[in-house]
Formats: sequence, structure tokens, C-alpha cells
Amino acid sequence: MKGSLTVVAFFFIGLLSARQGWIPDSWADESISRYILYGLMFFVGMSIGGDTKVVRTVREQGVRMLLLPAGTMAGTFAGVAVASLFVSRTLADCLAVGAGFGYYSLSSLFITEYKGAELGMVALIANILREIVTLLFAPLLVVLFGKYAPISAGGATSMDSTLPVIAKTVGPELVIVSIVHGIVVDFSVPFWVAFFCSF
Amino acid sequence: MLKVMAVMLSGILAGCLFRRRSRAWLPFVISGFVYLLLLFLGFSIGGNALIMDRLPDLGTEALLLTAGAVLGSVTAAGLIYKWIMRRKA
Repeated sequence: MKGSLTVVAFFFIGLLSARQGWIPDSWADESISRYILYGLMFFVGMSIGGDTKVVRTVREQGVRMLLLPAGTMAGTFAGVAVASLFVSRTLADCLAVGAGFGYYSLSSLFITEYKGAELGMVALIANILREIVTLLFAPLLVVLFGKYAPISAGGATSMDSTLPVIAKTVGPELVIVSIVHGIVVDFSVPFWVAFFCSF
Repeated sequence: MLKVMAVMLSGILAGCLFRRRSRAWLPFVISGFVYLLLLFLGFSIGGNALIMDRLPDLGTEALLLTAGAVLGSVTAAGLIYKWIMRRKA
């Protein structure tokens, strides 16, 4: 939770600095964020690749591991489709936002590139919110929807940022499920976002 | 988009290759990058008056979409959980 708040704090510091004109114009260039994202992706990949337990579990479990991620994706799209009725944007735009599955950095950057800064901003807020909601309401979600619920709610974040809270609320046996779920959903984000942005 | 996948895959490869070595520094580096990224995202959006003015509306949209996304996800998770539990019993 503290990590998420720190992340939001950095974002607001950046926002305020730019708004007040405290930073040189070149710093506001979106390509810088792009390169930082590449660096982030490399190290995230590295932490996945070095995890021996994950590789073994995937080999053992096979296709069954795709069930929960598939449910998360389908559930997200269905829920977003309903919500889109109350929002003045096209269904495709809303689905693109939902396709971030909590992965705010990647999804908002892509959506900004494909669809503009406004939808990118919605995506950023929406996906940060998803992570925060998971962190705050994990225990309640377990009570109402069962042990897989916080994993699903976390979406792509279930492998890292929401994993500690998930582990605490659903128990250590499901940690590997959460990690694999997060990785699968994580990988799907660029494809889904690009897909929905093409409409 | 393909570039991002390629970068991630090369990271995974590096992780596999260096599996024996200590990667205790990784979580800190990753956190650092996330903070940096959000800072610079803030920089690029903060100067954009068009967006800044619309922040309340955009925030509300985001809230509605997230509510839909999370409720949809946990409903699916609940159904899957019930199905799995029934199979085990």
C-alpha cells in the first residue's frame, strides 16, 4: 500500500512541477517516459525469467493455468462494457482502458500514443485505481467472491504489487497461481490494448 | 508495442541466464523505475492544460470503468472458484 501511495505521490509531484512551470520543456517529452518504460520492462522480464518456481509450475500445470487469467479478461471486458453505457466514450475506447488490467504504466503510454492524451489519462487513473482497490478491498473480495477474487481483481498486478496483500488474504498456497495469473495477464495487455485501439 | 515485447523477452532471457546469480537488487531497481516513470508521466501531463482542466471528468470516467472491470473480474473469479471447488468435492 505504501508503495502505491509513493507511486501516486511521484505522479502528483511530476504533475505539479510541470503545471507550475518548474521543469524545462524537454522533460515533458513523452518519449522519455517511453524509454523509462523499456528499462522497466527489461527488469520486470528479468525478475520473471529468474524465477525457477514459476517455470516449473507452468510446465507441470499446463493449460489449466490459463483458466483464471481468461476469466479475469472476460470478466473485465464484460464489466467494462456495462460501465461504458454510463460513460460518453465508444465501447472500443473503454475496452482499451480496461485492457490495462491494472498495468497503468504500459497501458496509459500506449493509449496516449494511439488515441491521445485524454484517454491515456483515463487509462492511467483507472488502472492505478484498480491496483489500489485490490489492495484496499482484498479481504472483502474474498468474503464475497471467494479466494480467487483478489487475484482476478489485481489483474496484471497480481504478480508483483498486489501479491503481498493477496498472499496475506488468500494464503501462501495460491501465491504461485497469483504470479502465473499476473504474468499471463501482463503479457496480454499490449495485444488487447493495441486490438481495441485499432477501432 | 512489439519493441516492448522484445525488450521484455530479452529481460526474461537475461533472468534465465543469470538465474544462479543474486538478483536481490531487482525489486529495488524495478521500484525505482516505476517511480521515475510516474514522475515523468506527471511531467508530460502536467503541462497539458487541456487535460488538467478536465481532470474531474476524466477521474469520474476512470472510476466507473474500474468499478465495472473489477466487479466483472471478481464475478468471473467467483464462478471459476465455485466450479473448481465442486469438481474437487
